[in-house]
Amino acid sequence: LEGDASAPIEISADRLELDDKAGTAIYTGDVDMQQGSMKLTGARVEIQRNADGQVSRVTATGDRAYIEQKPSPEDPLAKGWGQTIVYHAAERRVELIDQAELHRGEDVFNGAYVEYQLDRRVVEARAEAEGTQRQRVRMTLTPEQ
Amino acid sequence: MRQRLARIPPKFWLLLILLALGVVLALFFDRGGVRIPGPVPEDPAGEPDYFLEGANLTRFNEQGEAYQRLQSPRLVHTPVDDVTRAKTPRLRIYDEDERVWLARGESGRLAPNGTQVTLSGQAELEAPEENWLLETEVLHYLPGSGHAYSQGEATLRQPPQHIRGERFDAWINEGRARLTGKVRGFHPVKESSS
Repeated sequence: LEGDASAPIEISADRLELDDKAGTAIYTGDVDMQQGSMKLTGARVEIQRNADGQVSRVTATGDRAYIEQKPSPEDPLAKGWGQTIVYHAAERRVELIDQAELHRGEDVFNGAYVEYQLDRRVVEARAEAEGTQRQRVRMTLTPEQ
Repeated sequence: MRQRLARIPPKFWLLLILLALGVVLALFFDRGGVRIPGPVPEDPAGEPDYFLEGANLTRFNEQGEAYQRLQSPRLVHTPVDDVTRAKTPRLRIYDEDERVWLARGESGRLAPNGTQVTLSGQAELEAPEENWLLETEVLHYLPGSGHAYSQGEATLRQPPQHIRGERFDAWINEGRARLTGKVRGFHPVKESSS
């Protein structure tokens, strides 16, 4: 939705670990992250920040991690799953990795890797991704009525 | 002129001298020459054996390096529990990487042998180099293990983000901090200009 991109990221979890030396902030335990209409859940969510202290990248892992977002008021939720989900905040880009699955409206995409541009709603699916077994790409595209 | 002075009674001169002496003494006391100590502080833990005003305490390790400094306008030691109580203490801690950590509170309590420092009342722990500040009600610090913790609600501010939880721990020599229990994080995002 409009305004999602600049909305603050709000996270709830059981625990947060900050490691100044590694420069990481890791939430664990029933993690639920919201940014405007976008929602991301997982067992573990790592936050990386840029030099200004802004969130630059969010990496969620779980069995499976889940993400949803409302592209526009009229559109149904876009939903995505993966053993790992990487959200690039500034670029508004999501990577679904390993047992990746994306539902965009009536269309369904499966593979080892699925990339989704949140604002441009562009999808790219691949059968291979680093550290995962080969998983065939399957797409189910529903023609507009 | 001399007859007139002669006629002034001696009592008048005596009074004048006494007044002059009073003024001199008042000035002398006021300039801090001799400070009358404040009232002996009453303390729930009992009668103190000593108290210090404007105190600066420094602790050194075996290598003779300062690792902890405490400043307080007033320290009171009570023998019954061997505890030192501090008013508005300011703690400066040097970790093993010689990074500085600052801690403060409205009141402080130093356990025997300095094994534990407890800061109470808007207690704060600040890591200037990491640009974060921890706010809570009561903060405990164990110099031996470099472990600071709060067992109550705590908010960690690392502008522009802030995160709260029901318990806080920090291990200053490892540069690690942890919040647990109903953790809520707030992280602003700046949109990419592309």
